[in-house]
Amino acid sequence: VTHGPSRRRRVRIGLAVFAALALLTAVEYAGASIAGQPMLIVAPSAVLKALLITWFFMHIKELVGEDALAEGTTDDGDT
Amino acid sequence: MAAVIDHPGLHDDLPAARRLETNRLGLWLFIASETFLFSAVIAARFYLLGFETDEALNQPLGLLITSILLLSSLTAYLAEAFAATDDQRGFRRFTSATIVLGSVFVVGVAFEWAEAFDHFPPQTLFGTVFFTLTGLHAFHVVTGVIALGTIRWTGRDGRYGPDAHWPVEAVVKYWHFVDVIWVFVYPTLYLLR
Repeated sequence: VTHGPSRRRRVRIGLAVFAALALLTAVEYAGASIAGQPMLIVAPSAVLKALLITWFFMHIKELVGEDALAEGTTDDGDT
Repeated sequence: MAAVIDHPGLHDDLPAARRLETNRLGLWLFIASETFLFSAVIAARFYLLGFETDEALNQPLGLLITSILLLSSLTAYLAEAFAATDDQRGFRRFTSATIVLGSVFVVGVAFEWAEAFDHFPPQTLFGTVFFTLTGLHAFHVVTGVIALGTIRWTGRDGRYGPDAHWPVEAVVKYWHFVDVIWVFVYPTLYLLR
C-alpha cells in the first residue's frame, strides 16, 4: 500500500525541480557577473527558487487546507 | 496540563491523520521561527553594509557549495519518496547520499572560512556578517546531517514505510528548509553588490 503519487511521478517531479533550480542558479551567477543591478536578477530568482522548494519539496500546500493524507491517495500503480 | 498528566494515553486516542496534521503544524511553526532568526541576520547584513561586499570572496567555491546543497535537496526528496513508496534500499541510498553531500558542503564552508580569515577576519564589519551568516547556517546543516544520520540508522531495519514515515518527512523538510535559507544567504553574501 502506498499513499500519494507513484514513485516514478515523484522522481520526475524531483528531477524537474532540480533542473529548474540549477538553471536559476546559473542565471543568478551569470546575471550578477554582468548586470549593473544584480538585485533585479538575483532577488526574483531567489524567491522563485524558494517557492519551488517549498511547494514541490516541502509540500507547503498541506498547510493551505489540502488534506495531508489525501494528497493523491490514488496510487498510479507503478511503485 | 493536569488533564494531560492524568491521561497519559490521550494522544493515543487521536486518529493517526490528526496526529500527523498536528506534527506537521508543529514543524511548520518551528520552521517559521527559524525563518525569523535568519531574516533578522540577513536584514542586519544590509543595515550594516548596504550592498557592499568583499572582492576576496571565493565565487567559484560559493557556486560549488550552492550546487552541492541544491543537489542534496534532490537526494533528500528522493529519500522521502522512496520511503513513502516502501523502497527501503532507495531510502537508505538517498539518505546516505544526502548525508555525504551535506558533509561536503560543510567542508566547503570550512575552506571558505580558512580563506576568509586571511581576507576579512571576524573583527571587520564584512567578516562579522560573513561569519555570522555562514556559521549560523553551517550549524543548521550540521544538525541536519545528524538528524539524517539518525533516520538512516533507525531506518536500517525497514521501519519507515508508506504508513509510517513521519520522522523521515520531518527531517527531510528541515533539510529543505536549510536549503531554502541558503538560497537567500548565497546571493546576500556572494552576488549582491
